[in-house]
Amino acid sequence: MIAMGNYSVSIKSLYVVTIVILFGALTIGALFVAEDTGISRLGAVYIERSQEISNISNAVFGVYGMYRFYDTLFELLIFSTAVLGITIFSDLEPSPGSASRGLVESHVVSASASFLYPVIAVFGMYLAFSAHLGPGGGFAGGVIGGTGILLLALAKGAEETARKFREDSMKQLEYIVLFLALSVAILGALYPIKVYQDILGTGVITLVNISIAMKVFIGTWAILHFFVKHRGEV
Amino acid sequence: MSTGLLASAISIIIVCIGVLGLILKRNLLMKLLSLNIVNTATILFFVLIVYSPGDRAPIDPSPGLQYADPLPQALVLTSIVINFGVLALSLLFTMVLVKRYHTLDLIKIEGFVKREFEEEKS
Repeated sequence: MIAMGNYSVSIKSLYVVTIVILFGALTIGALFVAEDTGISRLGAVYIERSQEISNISNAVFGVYGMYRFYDTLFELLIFSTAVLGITIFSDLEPSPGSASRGLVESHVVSASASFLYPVIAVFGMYLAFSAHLGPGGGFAGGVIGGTGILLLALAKGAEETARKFREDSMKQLEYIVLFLALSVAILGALYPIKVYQDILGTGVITLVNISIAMKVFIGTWAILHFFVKHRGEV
Repeated sequence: MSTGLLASAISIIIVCIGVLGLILKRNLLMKLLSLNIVNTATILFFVLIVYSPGDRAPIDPSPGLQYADPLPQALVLTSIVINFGVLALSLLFTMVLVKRYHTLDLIKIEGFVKREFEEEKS
């Protein structure tokens, strides 16, 4: 039975390797046969429209913040579902209680972390605030802020960092921010482009970006903190 | 044939490597790592498929100039965040499984689950 099992497994992996290599060769062949048409028609339309709308100069933000805003919204919902799952599990399962073990005792790390964190936070906020004007965006800004907190946790210990940032009230803020994004989405469904251009101007764009950034920031930190808590120290 | 096409061919090869790892590896963590490789290669593919030398970034466009396509870049954003969420949740489930069965081997875990199921039935 064991010999039989080994035999069937190796034949199966041979099939798998063959199929995957075939798939790769076919896809690459299709890639080289297809003619290069340059920019897609839809992309050209998006770029054309972002010339017309004066207060959005980043065409990528135009795509994910206006024309495909539902994509972004449901993406936020999926992300918050993942964070919710981790939070629920974190409440159910007590941490092993070895939280103060293995802290990095290096003066270079702690000194540079307290010096660098404000810079990182300001950079993340800048990316979130100016997403409609240049490169950046709410997601990038939020992730930069969250990983900056990870740096702080590396230097000062995760529990102390969580206490400093008042994690419990942050988690409530997360739902408020989600509600904000949802209400902007409903407004946008009622008055598609007008919301951005005429009625509320640039303020609502910044509001959307800031709410996305806050959501991603809190979610990233919640996930990182969970894994840090259940493994020990960073 | 442009540089973008050649590079996207390489990204397809990376996808194939990731899929092979996803199917052939028995370790759960290795499976998750392969999933991450597939996702990263997909992002690479999306960015490179529309790349051609001389394109400008689609910021503050003015008529008459060549710009990169903004659509795949916006889609990639979605992909990155969802990959992060999926990876976090599946790591959590892996942690639950390891706590219960004390192994990362998928076939062993399958055996344990099967045995538990049969015990429950009888």
